[in-house]
Amino acid sequence: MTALIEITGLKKQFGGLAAVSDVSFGVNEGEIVALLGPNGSGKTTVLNMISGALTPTAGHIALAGDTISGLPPHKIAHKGVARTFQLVKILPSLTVAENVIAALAFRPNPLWGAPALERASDLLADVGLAGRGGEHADDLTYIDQKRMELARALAAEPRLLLLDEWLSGLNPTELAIGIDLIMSLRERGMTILLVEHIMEAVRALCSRAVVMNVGKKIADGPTAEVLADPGVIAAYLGEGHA
Amino acid sequence: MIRIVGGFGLAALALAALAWLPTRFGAYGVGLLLGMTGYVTLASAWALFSGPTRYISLATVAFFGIGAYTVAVLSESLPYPLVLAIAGVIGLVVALVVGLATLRLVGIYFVIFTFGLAELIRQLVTWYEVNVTGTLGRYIFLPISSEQIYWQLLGLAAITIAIGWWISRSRIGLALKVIGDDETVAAHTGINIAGVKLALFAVSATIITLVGAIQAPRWTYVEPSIVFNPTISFLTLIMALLGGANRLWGPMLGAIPLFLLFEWLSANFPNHYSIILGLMFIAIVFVVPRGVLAFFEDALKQVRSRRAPEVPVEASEATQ
Repeated sequence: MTALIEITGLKKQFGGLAAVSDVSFGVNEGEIVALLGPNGSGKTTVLNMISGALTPTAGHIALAGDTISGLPPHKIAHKGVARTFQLVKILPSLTVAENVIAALAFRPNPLWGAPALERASDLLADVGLAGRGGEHADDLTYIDQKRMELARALAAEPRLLLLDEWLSGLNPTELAIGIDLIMSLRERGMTILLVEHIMEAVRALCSRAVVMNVGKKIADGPTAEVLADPGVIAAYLGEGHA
Repeated sequence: MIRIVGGFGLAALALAALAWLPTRFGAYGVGLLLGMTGYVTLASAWALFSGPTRYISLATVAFFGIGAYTVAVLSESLPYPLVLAIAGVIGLVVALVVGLATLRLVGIYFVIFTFGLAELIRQLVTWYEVNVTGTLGRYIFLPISSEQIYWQLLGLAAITIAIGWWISRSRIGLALKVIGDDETVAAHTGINIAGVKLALFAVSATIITLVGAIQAPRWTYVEPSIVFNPTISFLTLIMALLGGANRLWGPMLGAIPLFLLFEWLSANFPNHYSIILGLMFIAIVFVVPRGVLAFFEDALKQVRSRRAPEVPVEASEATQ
């Protein structure tokens, strides 16, 4: 398998604080990898550097051999990276369909007008929002906003999908639906890097996990092995539990 | 589709009626129409950029003055249509340079920069005229009547509003809404935010330059303090804000009453004009910050939502 995304020596410095230091890992085509770690370990910062929301202080990110580190986010989006946000970001003044069309209209092979509307309703149906394109994004419930955000990310037809705690804040029923949704993406061959705190979901979805603690990578391997690693348990629960 | 065709038909009829108006008015009436149309165009063009992006530009008069001065300098050596085209191109180039340098500035810094830009250009032109050409003022003798100026402005106003209408239905219009809602999402869905803003700034500034160029022949005599008068920037801004800078017809609805009011004030209270102007600015910003159109829409919504619980509206009206 070839690495779709290759991260080497990634570093992010905020003043005197090294939020991410010397992190290297890769994600292969068609793989779902979890990026784990306690709060403040730098997971979201890594995602932000991949999507271009932050510029790395040092290090290199390549998508299918193409350097993307240092590019502005809209160019990285055009190269095939789409994401959802830790705190779900909707476009409140638009309808649900328009939220998805926003991504369809500005991807490298844009859709507009009737074809865009048609594709948007297909995408909404895929995430379980069939026939609800006309509603206002503002009026959706939390899970539906998350679904819409996922449809928007998928609308870009990304090669790499970044999910930042997309499953958090859901009740058990919704969680099961959410896991099924991501499963269906895996079956379509989508490459996904996800940050998640819900271990049940991580075990169900991810073949591999990368664990970070205080900005450094401390483990990388098959999910079950990584989660049994004494170093990882210590990072999550404190030294006494290892 | 029928609605669009009907709308265009109505707009064309209104335009024809407006174009016919000068034949019914004397010289004063035509002058009034001309000034009003000029400000409708300025306010609409200003709102093209500042409405959706919320970047408050005080550079209106910088471009307006560039247009007027281009005509003053070139009108004797080149044919008039060519002079207009050159003015437009100069405005576009200045807008692109200024835009590239400044659209990173946010909020108050952008306001101050644009105000400074207008002053800078005015002082540069003054310095050049005094030290290089040796005279401060210039005469414009062009065989163009007030009616012709009015028709040109009317055409430009129609084009400006048509551009606004087209933008609202195009991908750029959607991009603007997304940017207005959330710039992070906009960038991550592939929208080139800086590019969109720059394009709008350039279009808006070019139209404003053309307004200055078209109006120039009316003055006959031009000097920097006339065509780079900052009041023009402030009036444009307050007209657009009064009507609502985010609505297609908002700037026009703000420009017409305010222009007439200012005409009346400057005729009847020439000494207190500036004071009244200042008070009006403050009042508009405090009372209708989003424009009268939005104000009335909000009021209507409130009335409706208050009525909603009482089921039959007719019945409740009948009992009163």
